[in-house]
Amino acid sequence: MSEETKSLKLTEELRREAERLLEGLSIKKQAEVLKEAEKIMHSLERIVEITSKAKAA
Amino acid sequence: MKIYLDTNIIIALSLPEDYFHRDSRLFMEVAKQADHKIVVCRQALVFDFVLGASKKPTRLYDIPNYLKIIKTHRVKIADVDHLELLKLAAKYHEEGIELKLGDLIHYAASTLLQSDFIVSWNERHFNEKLARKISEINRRIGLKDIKATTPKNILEGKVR
Repeated sequence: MSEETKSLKLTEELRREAERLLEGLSIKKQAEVLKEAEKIMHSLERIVEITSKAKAA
Repeated sequence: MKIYLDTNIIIALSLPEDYFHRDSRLFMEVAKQADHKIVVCRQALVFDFVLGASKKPTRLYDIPNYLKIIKTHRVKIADVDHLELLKLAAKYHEEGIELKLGDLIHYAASTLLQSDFIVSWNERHFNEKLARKISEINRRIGLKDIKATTPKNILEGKVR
């Protein structure tokens, strides 16, 4: 992956992977998967919050 | 003005060597000075960053860095309903918008968050022509019109 336009290429690659994962699922099931995946995001947001606060203290 | 950021701008902001890094930073500065509200959608980010890491789970380790970038640039992470988001993206697809789900989700998120603009470095997938088609669908179902452009066009005052 060329470093120059990595932002574009990486975004496309991420979307391709996500689409592949949801392929063939009903919209309801896709929403269920998205909700579960959101828990990971919440945990990571919390980790960033805790570590930034601790480092700033 | 409410501006919705596509994920490639967040990624460009996180990569100093990226071709779009400098202009992305400049855009964020200008947007801040102009007092524009900059938003991203949590569920659309989850689609890209978490589901997008399904094949290469180590990519999950990049997410805290993206979140820091979002925080540093005071971008608001807004929520939409999961099902509503996916249904609207599917509606765009059914109505003949020739884009993949990943891009349609961002058009849908931007619409549901009532943004004035969706900005992206990907002009092929986020442009005036496609935004006009999306707006026609939105109008029919009582949703807001949407415009799509690049940060550079906004910086150069080509769109208002």
